Amino acid sequence: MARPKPIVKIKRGITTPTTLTAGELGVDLATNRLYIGIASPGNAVTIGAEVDIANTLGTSDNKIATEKAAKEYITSKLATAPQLPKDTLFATILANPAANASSVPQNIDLSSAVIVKSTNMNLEVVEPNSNPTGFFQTTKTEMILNVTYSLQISAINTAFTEGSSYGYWRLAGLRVIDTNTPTNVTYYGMQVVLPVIGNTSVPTFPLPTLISGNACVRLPKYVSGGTQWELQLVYQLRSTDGLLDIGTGGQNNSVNDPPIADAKGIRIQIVKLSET
Amino acid sequence: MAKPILKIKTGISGKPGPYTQTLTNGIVTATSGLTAGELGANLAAGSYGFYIGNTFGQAITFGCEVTIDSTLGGISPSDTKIPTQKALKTFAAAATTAAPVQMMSRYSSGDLAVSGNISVIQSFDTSELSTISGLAYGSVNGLNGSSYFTNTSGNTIHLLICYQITWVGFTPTQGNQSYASREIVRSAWIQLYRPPYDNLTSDMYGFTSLLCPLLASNNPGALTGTQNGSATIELSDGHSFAIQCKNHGTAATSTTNTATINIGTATGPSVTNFNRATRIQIVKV
Repeated sequence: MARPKPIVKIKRGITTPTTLTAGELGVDLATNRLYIGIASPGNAVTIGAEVDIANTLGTSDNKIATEKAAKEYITSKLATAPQLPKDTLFATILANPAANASSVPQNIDLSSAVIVKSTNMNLEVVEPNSNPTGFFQTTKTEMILNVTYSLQISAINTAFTEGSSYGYWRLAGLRVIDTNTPTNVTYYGMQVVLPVIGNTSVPTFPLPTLISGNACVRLPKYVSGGTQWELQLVYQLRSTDGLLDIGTGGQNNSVNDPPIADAKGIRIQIVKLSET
Repeated sequence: MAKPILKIKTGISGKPGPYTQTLTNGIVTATSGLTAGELGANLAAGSYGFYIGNTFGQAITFGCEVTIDSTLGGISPSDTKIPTQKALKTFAAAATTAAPVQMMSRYSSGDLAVSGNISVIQSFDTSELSTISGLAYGSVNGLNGSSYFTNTSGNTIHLLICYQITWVGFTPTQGNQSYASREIVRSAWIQLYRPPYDNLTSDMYGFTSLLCPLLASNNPGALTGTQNGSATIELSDGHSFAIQCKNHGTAATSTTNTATINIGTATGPSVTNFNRATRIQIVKV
C-alpha cells in the first residue's frame, strides 16, 4: 500500500501519559489507548482505544465495541434473557361480608382487603372521595390485567326439596365500571354455579359453594373529578336467599367431611400484563 | 513518554498487514504495515478505520467513524462505526422498554341458536379492542362458518384466551328443570384447527361445563346461565381457533349477549342483569 508522507506525530509510552502538552497526542502501547493532552498541564484524556468487532463483548476497558457488535450483543441478550417476574398484586379479604341477595350483581367491598403482595402495581383500593369498593389506578392511560379470583359462599342451610330449592344459584365474576356512570360497565369472567343444597336434618351435609374464575381485563385510568374506573369483584345471589356470608367456608357437620374453613375465603390475584 | 516519533500513514486498502521492510543492498527501500505506535488511516468510503501498530508490528484498529445513530445502524449495523454513549443508551432503553401487551376483545351482539345435543362455534361479531397484529377474525378456507381466529403473523404465537358464554334460561313452555336432568348441562371449550383439520378431538383447551339455573324464566329468581374458561395456547402460523359451545340437552336453546334475571316484581319478570355477556378476551403473551 502506498503511503503518503506522515502528517501527525504522536508520543508513545507504556503507561498513561502525564507529560502531554495541550493538543499533543500520546499512545500507551501496553493498552493501545490513544490520548490527547488538554489545557491543564500534565493531564490527558483518552480519545481512542482498540476497536473490537466481537459481538460477545469481552471485559476489557481498553476496547471499544463497534455499532454492529454492540447491537448484536444487546439484542441477543434480550432475546435469551429470562423474563422478569410480572408485577403482581395478591389480596385477601379477611372481613367476610354479608352477602346481600339482590336483583343485580353486587360488588365486594375491598376496603378491608389485605394486600399480601404488591410489586409496582400502581393499583389502589382507597378512593379519595368516595366509597372504596374496588381497585383503581391513576398513573397510566390503561392497564391490561390478568385477574384470578376465588371466593366461598356459605352453605344453604335449608332442607332440599325439589320443589322449593332448585332455584338457588350463585353468580360471581369481575367487572370494570365507571362509577360515575354505572351503566358504563363490562363484566368479565362471570359464571353461574349451582350450590349443593343443605339439609337441616341429621345427618347434615351443608357445603359451601367454591367459585374461581379468570379473565383478562382492560382498566382505564381513574381521572379525579372525571371518569372513575374501577375493577370490582362481584357476586349475585337469588333474591329469595336472604343474607348469607361470603368467605366463611361453610358450616360444620357431623360426618367425615370437615368444612373448608379457609379464613381467607375471598382472594384476588392480579398480574399486570402491560401499562401504557 | 518519549519525544514524538509517530506519524499517521494513509491508505485505502483496508487494515494494514504486519509491519515489513524491503531491503535493497542492506538499505530499507520500502516498508508496509505499521511499526509500534505508528498510526495509519483507511480512507476508503464506508470504512475510515484508524489503526495503530503494536509492539509486534501488528496493526490494531483503535478508531473509526463515530455514529450518533440511536438505531445502531437499523437493519444494517456496521463494524466500521462506533456508537456514542447517547446512541447506545437510547437504543438499549428502547429495546428494554416493555411494549404494550397486544390484546383483542370481542363480544357477540345477538343470540346464537344451538339445537339439542350438538355443538356450535360461537360468534363474536363485534370488536371492542384489537391491538394484536397478525390475528384475524373471520372465515377460513376449508372450514365452515366465519367465527375463527387465525394466526396470520407468519410466526408461531402464544395466546392467553378468556371466554365467557351466557345461555338463555328455560322458557315457560320448557318449565322448571331437574338437577338430575341432562337438560341443564352446557359445555364450552377452545378448539384449535390445524390443517388439514382432521384431528379436532385432540385440540381442545379450557374445557368448562355449566349446570344452568333450573327455574323457567317466568319464575322469580330465574337466571340465565354463564360460564367462563381460559387457557394459554400455542398457535402456529396459518392455524386457527374458535370457541365451541355444546348443548347437552335435548331441547333447543341459544347463547345470548344479554344475561337476564327474573326479579319477581311488578316490573318483572325478566330484566337485564348484564350486557355483552358472551365475550372473549385474547392476549398475546
